[in-house]
Amino acid sequence: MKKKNLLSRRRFFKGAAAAGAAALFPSIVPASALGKNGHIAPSNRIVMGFIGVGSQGTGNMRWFLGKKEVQVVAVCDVDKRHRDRAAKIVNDRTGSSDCTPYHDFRELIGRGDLDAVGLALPDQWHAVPAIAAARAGLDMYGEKPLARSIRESRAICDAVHRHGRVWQTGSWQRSQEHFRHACELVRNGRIGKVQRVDVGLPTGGTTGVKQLKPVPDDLDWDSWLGPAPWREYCEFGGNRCHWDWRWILDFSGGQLTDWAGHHIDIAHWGLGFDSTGPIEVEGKASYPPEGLYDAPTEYEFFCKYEGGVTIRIGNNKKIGFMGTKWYGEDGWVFVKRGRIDASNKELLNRKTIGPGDKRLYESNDHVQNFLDCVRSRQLTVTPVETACRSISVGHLGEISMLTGRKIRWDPKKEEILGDPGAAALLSRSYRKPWSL
Amino acid sequence: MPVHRIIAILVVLVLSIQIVSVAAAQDEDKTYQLIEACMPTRTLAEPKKERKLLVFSRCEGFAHASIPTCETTIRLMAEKTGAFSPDFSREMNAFTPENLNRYDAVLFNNTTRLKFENPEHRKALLQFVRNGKGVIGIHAATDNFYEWPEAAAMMGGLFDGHPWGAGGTWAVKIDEPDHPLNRGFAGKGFLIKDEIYQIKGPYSRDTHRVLLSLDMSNPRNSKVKGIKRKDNDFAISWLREFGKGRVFYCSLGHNHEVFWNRSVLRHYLDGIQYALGDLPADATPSARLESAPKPALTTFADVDKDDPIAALESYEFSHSRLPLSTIEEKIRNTNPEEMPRIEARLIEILNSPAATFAGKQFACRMLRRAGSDISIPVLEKLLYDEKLTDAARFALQGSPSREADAVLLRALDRLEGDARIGVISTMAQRGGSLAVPRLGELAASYNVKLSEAAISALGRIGGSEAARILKNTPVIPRYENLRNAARLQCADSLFEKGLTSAAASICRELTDKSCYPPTRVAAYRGLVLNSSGNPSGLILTLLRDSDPFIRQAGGKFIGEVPQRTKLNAILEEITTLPHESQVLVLAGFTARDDKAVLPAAVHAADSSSDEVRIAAFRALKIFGGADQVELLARAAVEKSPAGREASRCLDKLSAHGVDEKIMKCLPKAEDPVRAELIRCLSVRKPDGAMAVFLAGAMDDNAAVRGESLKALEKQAGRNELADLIGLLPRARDAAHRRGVEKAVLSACRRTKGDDKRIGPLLAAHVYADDPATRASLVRLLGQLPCADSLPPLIAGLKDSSAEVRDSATRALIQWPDAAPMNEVCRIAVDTGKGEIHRLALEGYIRMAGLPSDRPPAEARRIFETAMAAAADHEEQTLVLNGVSNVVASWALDFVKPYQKDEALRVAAAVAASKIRRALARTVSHDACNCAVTLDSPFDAQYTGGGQNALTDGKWGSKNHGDGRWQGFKGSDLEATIDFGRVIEVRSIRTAFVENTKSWIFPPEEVSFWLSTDGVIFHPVAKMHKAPAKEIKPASIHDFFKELDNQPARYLRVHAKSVKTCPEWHPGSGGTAWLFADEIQVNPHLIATQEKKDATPW
Repeated sequence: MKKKNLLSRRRFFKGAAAAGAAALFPSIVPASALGKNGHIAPSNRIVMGFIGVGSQGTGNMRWFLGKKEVQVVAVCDVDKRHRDRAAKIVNDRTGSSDCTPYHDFRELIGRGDLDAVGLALPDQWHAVPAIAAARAGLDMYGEKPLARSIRESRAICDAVHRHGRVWQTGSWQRSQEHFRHACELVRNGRIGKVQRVDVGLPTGGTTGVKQLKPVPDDLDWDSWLGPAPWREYCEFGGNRCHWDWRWILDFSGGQLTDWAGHHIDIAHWGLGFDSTGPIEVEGKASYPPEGLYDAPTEYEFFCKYEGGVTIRIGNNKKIGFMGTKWYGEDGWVFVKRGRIDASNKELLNRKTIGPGDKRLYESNDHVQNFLDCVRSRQLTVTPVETACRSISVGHLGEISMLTGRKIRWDPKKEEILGDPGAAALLSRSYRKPWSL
Repeated sequence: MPVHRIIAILVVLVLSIQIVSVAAAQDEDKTYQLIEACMPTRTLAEPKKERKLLVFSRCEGFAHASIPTCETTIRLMAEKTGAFSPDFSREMNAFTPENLNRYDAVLFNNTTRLKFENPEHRKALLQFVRNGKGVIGIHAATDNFYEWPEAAAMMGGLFDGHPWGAGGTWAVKIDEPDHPLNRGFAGKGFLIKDEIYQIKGPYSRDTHRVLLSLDMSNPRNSKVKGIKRKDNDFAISWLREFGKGRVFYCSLGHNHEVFWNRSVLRHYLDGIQYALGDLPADATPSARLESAPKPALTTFADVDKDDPIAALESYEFSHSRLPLSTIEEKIRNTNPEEMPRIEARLIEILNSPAATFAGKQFACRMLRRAGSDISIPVLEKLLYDEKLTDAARFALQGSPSREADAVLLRALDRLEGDARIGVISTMAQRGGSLAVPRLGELAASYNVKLSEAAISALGRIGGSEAARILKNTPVIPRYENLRNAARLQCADSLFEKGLTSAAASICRELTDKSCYPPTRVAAYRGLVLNSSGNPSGLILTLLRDSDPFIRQAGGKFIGEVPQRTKLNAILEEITTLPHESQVLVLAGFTARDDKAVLPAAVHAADSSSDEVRIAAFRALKIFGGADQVELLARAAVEKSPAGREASRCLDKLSAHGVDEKIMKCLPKAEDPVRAELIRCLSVRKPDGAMAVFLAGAMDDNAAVRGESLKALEKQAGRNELADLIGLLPRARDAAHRRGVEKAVLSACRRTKGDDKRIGPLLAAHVYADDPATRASLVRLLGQLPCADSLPPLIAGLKDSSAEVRDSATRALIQWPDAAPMNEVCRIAVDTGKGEIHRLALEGYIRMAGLPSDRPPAEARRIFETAMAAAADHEEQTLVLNGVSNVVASWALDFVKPYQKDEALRVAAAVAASKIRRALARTVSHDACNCAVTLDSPFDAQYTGGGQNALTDGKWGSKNHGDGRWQGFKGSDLEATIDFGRVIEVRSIRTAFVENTKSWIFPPEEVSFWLSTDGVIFHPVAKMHKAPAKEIKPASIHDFFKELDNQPARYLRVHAKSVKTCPEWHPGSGGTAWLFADEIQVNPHLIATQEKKDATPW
């Protein structure tokens, strides 16, 4: 009930502006709401909160703060240092103290005056807040990978779709012209029918055995773990438990799932596979036998798709590069950060794609694209279904490499066929009291 | 003290004693359970008759706390295996001959310093053994008989300290893996946490058959203090024959935990059975065996690999993960037939009361992969363990077995609190309808957390029963929205199953205005996407809703409805919708890639709302074509967001024929539109556009000319050059002329080759009659400096036209090299104070500062000339600033007098300091170009310039890749410099760059050493550096030492590298770099200047 009232207030807030009731504003808008962004009418302003404000989350938040239509009023992190720092960044900018730091994301979502949230949490924490935010009618800019497991990814997709939310994934490579150009070349048959694709991702690292440490007073370790299995606190990467959690399988899938949302995502874009997946996945990985990190260091797996295309995915030492390379009957196209190349250099001219060609979704600013879509209500350049399909490839590879078996996958029903042991790995069990 | 207080204290005392004893009893209980769980149940040999064992636990020295534990162990061993029946004693009278002869063997349980003062007891014991009975010694049993050599010989040795303390974990090798008494160790060395004795006295492999001993090849054993034996033979367990009797001794047994080690218990049992005479075992002394058995050594890896699952028992989060990864690898590579064996072992771990939480959690995790129905009972048990319930669910969640559902359902009613909620979460993820009715009951609970979990679970499980239950379950108001979200989740599952009418009725109910808006959106979505008819009508209703949140949803649905469903009815009504909804409709159709929107977009392009128009232009960008060119061009000239969007749209229109259409429209269009179309062509760059631009460059309309020239500036090249130069004499006004000049200039710059670039300009210059054109050409030539372009400029100084003279003057002043220096000097001297004078002076100073090989005297004269020409203090300061860039000693002399001039003091001082600093870096020093010998080679990628880079007189900058730094990967720098003769060393300086982001760390320590003969080096300085703690911007670290004219021919610089990246660093453990440059000795010149200023920069 409380939620509803607050939400009505927000809607009144927006609706009233449209009705020209501007005179009312001083009484309900905090002084800073007009702040330095005063020239944007409140009805056009997008009020945001950020959940997870470590380095990535704060980076995202800064990007949003650079947009004049954005007003950030809330930040949330279980590390007090993070949330206080983030709140200060916002408040210093607006010259006010209106950005509230939260410990519990549920309180932030429950505020009722938000339009959208930015999510940048460890992977085990991707599903729960996203679904809660969808149910509260918020739009989301969420970090990749979409979730830690395929079942969680699907649950996020369903909630976002069901409640008509706008979602942008942090797969920002799709908002870069040269990635788009590479994909348009492939889509438009400039290298003929595509036969195979190589995707190179970074190689994983290792670390030693870590001493247990007392949990710092201003870090809520239990909440940080959240749905992930319990473990004693230790520092990794020299920075509390931040950033380097991604090399521990309880929290993430290592470089593979960290980068699936980039180069695999681009491979899919070029092939037009944004709403499907492979039918067979098989590969091998080497896991560090010792030390805290247990995510694979070296890995390589093959994904066969309906129609015969095979995507080979592996760490750069195995593949020979970082990036995505499509091989067609008539040549190849390669793209990575900062570079595009092709067997036929003429293709590199942007004008190669011209009238009559299939044009891909054009976005040149990932955050702006999200904000535009929050207004237009249409799909972003990396909508939730796309993110789900991109990371599914990473998760299926992970399952194949963990079990050491070939996985047969039904991309329509999203089921593993004929291997209940592997199918058990499609979901993750949540530590109490969390549930999906 | 009042009586009641005393009573109170007594009560407290009594209570606390009780508590202590209760705790002790609990401990005992636990110990008992642990030992019981690990005790072997079967003997290796059947007892030949009923055996009696005397367990003797007397201490005359130190009393071990493990004595009772050992007693419990023996008692349990007897109960479980029936190998013997024990009596327990601590009294010496146990050794009367009468009593002793009732037994088959005596077990010395950690006895200490036994003296056996009664000779009868001594005799009885020796006879007892010699006549064929047995003796067993546990741990401190060798700490006896110091005054009784025969008994010491019988036991087999004497205690000589324990270098391997009880707190350590030690590596034990199996001396004879195949010996029957060693079978409990599975032929593998192992690690154990216990106190290990050093044995002296009557111990020898000539008399003993050694079973276990310390594995001294394992470094963990050798790094202890107090080792006395020289032969490295530290036996732990042995057999020996004594007369007709048998002795088994094992020095393990100090720590309690040893008594719940399965392998050790097996070893004890087998040893006791040997001593009792039931288990035949060869006791031939080890040294006398014909072929020496191959011992099973330990390595840390081996131990854990061989029985990694056992290692789980003691696994903690801070431990090595090696056993875990080994188990995982094993499961990955095991064929399905062998999986039950692994599963059984994992179950053992879960059943073991000794196993740690971390170990059990991992076992559960592995059961998720290796488990079957067999593990379900043990997992069920763990569900009720407060700590392990999560881990148990982890394993159960993926189980394909129906039994798992039954187990969870049972737990649902028996568990409480968060553990119960956890079970609900697992049920929700498993799906299935078994739990639905019970969850329905819980959903109505007044326990809010329980109710919330149950409602969410029902939503996730979905289906008609869950939907029905959710509908009828009364929930607290706070969860009304949650319940509705769950109902809609059910509705979606029903739609998927084709139960459309049931699903639709849920949705219809929840579209009610009283519902939470996000609920209504989801409900409407269900209806729109699953409607049997055309959803256009419903979407239109939404688009007309008074709530913007609902209107937005309507817009979103347009984009989501499958393309095959035509939504044209919405387009027909679009003009009747509020503007906000029109925007949504246009965006929606654009997103669904529906061409039908084109007419509506064309119409909306004229809307009164800017927002609507923007949406229309965005639609036209995708669907528009040649027909929309005029419309867009007209809109694009507006200075508004809509105008800008139209302009962007025009640039991106991708249909065929758009370019042709633009060119066709051009002549007829109005002026501003023509300008816009030209701008658009400059973006689209179609063939033939250049001619359009050239024509446009002479258009009557200034805006059209401007856009055309801008386009030419962006794109014109060699082909257009002649035409463009031809425009110069025809320029209409100054602005036009400037535009043409810019276009000519960029066309020239795009033309390769000086002659081709400059030639047309020079030719035009010869024939340029009008001064304005000549001035243009002079300006252009000034910006395209080469040998050929200079003469016309110098000639221009004497031109009849003031404009040409001015242009030539300015061009010369800005000339990039020193070629026109004399002319510039003359301008500076001849021109009166003013802008030109100042610019000329600046130019002259700049040219003087350029690198040249003119002699110092001449260089100095140039600056003196400039100083003379300077009209005021400000200009004099300019000269001083110019001098400050000169790296030469005369420059210091030059600025010196001005330091006394009140107005120039500061500038002169700054210049002096800058010159000195620069001199210090570049000026020669005594080690310059001396030969360098490096102890370890520099990296091939960062040579710094080669072998003598450290003495090349060039200093590296903060950029480690500037080619001057010499890089050492993972090794120290040890450089020895030969001055070639003995010199007097006054100062030594060297520098290292830090760039931790690139794994380049400063040295931990730097030392300087001097030598006169190259053989004996004396340390003269040792400097430490606080280690880098975080990633910081690159910086240079100096190490500097002043000396008192110390004679030396050789200098050695040693810099200690950190070698590996420290723990805080992202590259932790990776190889670290050390980057060094320039070892400077006695820098010239500086020493005579102010000393203070000569210290580090």
